[in-house]
Amino acid sequence: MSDDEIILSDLSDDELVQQMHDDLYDGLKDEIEEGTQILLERGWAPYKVLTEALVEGMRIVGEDFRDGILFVPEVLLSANAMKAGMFILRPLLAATGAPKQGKMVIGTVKGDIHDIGKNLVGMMMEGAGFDVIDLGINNAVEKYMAAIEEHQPDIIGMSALLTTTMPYMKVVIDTMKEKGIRDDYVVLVGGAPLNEEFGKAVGADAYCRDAAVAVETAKDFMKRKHNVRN
Amino acid sequence: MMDPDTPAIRRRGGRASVVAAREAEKRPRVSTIKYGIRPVEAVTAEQLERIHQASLAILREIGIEFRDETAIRQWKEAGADVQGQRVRLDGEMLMHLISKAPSRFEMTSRDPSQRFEIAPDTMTFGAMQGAPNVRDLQGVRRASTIEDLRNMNRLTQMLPGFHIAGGFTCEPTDIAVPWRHLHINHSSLVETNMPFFGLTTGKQRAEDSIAMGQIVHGKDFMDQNAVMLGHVSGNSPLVWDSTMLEGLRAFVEANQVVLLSPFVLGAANTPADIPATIAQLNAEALAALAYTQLVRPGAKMIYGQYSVSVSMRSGAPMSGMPEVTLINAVIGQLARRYGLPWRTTASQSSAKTFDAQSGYESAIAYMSGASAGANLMMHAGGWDEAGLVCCMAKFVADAEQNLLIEKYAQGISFEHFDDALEAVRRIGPGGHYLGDSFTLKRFKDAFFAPEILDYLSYEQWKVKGSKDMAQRCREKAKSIIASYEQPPMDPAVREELDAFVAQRQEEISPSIA
Ligand code: B1M
Repeated sequence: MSDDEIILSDLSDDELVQQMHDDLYDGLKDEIEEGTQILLERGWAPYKVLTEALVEGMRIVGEDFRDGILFVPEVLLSANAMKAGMFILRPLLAATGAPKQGKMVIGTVKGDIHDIGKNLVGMMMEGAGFDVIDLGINNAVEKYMAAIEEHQPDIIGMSALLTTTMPYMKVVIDTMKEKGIRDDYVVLVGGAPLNEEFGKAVGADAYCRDAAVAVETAKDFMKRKHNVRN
Repeated sequence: MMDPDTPAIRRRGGRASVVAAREAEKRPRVSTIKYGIRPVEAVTAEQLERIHQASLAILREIGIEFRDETAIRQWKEAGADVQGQRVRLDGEMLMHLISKAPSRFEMTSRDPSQRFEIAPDTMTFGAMQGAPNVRDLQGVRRASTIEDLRNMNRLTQMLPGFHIAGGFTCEPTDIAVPWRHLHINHSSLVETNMPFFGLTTGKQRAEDSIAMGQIVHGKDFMDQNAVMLGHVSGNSPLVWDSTMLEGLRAFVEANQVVLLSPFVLGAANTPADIPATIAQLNAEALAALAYTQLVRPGAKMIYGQYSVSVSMRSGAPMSGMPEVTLINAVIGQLARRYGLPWRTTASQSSAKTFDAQSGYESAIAYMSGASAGANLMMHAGGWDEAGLVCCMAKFVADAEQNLLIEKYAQGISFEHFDDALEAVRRIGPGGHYLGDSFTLKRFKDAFFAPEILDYLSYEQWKVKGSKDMAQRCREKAKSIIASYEQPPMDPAVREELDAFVAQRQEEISPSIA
């Protein structure tokens, strides 16, 4: 039997989850939607579908991306398949009060139009199950504040590639402090000319050297938030 | 038989005068370099036409965004099809505008001996720009400071091999951002007397740059002469944004040169295909070149482009790749077709130390640009880590490479051909040429004699301290900086320049300590 002829609904739960991991790896959106539906119909809790089928599948994708086996366009496909599954699960997760994977608002700061790195981060975060609101480039502090208000994210992500725009991250963080909301959010920063020290100096929670680290760091903060340890 | 043209060997003053003469022979700063080699052509005339037509179709059918109110207004007035920020241009209007640009122009500075031509048949070298870090004189990587920038400018001024100072060869990160551009321009103007890159990121910075140039060179002089360049990057795919266009206008209105660079990150912001990448890049370049002529007909401009491919493992830009060499060759063909000088990125590398990768990538970038007939070899000094580091050692090595590449580009001279053939008759089979009169007359110029590249025997090298290239370069950099003398500047002008910086600092933000 060739792979194309696999009938998902004929598979046992374990086999189906395995198959979904493979389908995520191959970036098959329709198959992921179908698998997600089947598991739900079989009575799986939405949170269990999310963690065991989708998040675990994307963990494998993330590792192979890190190790240079998978390439950016392939990971983008996987992330899109993951998003399609998430789209089905999101309302159900909310209704069942399941712990949230997390929501992030991300944007390149004012004066800066570099966005390739930020886009990669957004894509990997979506792949890991986060809701990502992308503010695009050249964002003034007001944009971040409005997005915080509108979307109530867990994480604020800022990207800057110019030494002249990096300091603007502090403007955003200081404004959050002034408004007394700084501690309600996790602030992550990144971009080629930044470093650990700079992240600390502007008062971010963490500096992320690349997209994989951004995902790991975000997950870590979400675990702490929900007081989950493993 | 003696060469009849060669005078008998005479007294020449012994050691003292030979040493002095050798010092004086050290190359003066490069002037106009004329290409003598034929450029490599990567595509046929028909293929080039297909690419050109594809670029016109992109601009006519898809259009390009000018995210800038002034530009949109100007395009409307010029009769372009404008919807929102999307500008659709027909080929005829585009090429008509571009035909107003000069094919060749001179650049000069307050030192009248610095004068060279930028044209489709000349070659020009500029130091790198934009690094937020240096690999310093101890080989340590760290955030760069104003003192580092001053040292880079001192090196640029002293080393033969550069026509143009980089402006912000490295970024003075110890100076507050709102004031930084003032200090960058100040250093270009004080530490060097060369044409230099001003700053283009936004109206204010560009206007301050021009104003500072005018203090030193005189406004009238700059109205007549180009002494500064502004680098304007596009935001591929198919966007030119306001920040950069404001910079462009400030430079063009002051009669200074603009370099318009679409930015290819192959497969990230262009299609994963070489001819289609070039068609898009060319469309972006043509739109900006035409816009420049709309702002000021006859404006001096250079067809820019920065091309790298992108690692599909990380998104990181990669230099030294074969596709970039091919892209260079085709851009050269296109620019010559349009009658415009064009720029390449010489000497780019992504290495984290000044190592074999750094050397390989840079050497390929150099040869790729030179063999394609590039007219501005930009970033030709110091560029490592994909532009995140300016390596002081590499800068010295690159300066020598610039001279070497210059010689290659000038091609082969037949001036001494007949005399040299006479030498073949004189020596005949089995002899050697080392003592021949023709060799004596020509050996200094006939073959390039590098100082940094090492050709000692192992034992000689060991006796001299077993120094690798980086170490030799750092030592040379230190000695150049130690012997540096500031080029003269009228004290009144210097005072005015300093006062401008102080006054602008006060106006911009007096509170910064
Ligand atoms: C949670 O939040 C997070 C977490 C992690 C985050 C994060 C956010 N953001 C990033 N990360 C991290 O994860 C990502 C994925 O692993 C990584 O992202 P990166 O962005 O680092 O990596 C990307 C995957 C690949 N890297 C990149 O895409 C950047 C590459 C380089 C070559 C670069 C590019 C491509 C561009 N540029 Co520009 N550019 C350079 C860059 C040199 C370099 N080596 O970085 C740099 C940054 N640029 C520079 C300059 C000077 C400029 N650029 C300009 C323009 C551009 C382009 C538009 C042409 C283009 C950007 C295209 C685009 N759509 O993004 C101009 C400025 C425009 C502006 N207003 O912003 C202009 C001023 C040039 C000009 N005069 O026109 C230099 C900086 C100078 C300085 N000292 O600050 C520069 C170092 C190159 C140089 N030496 O000149 C991590 O950093």
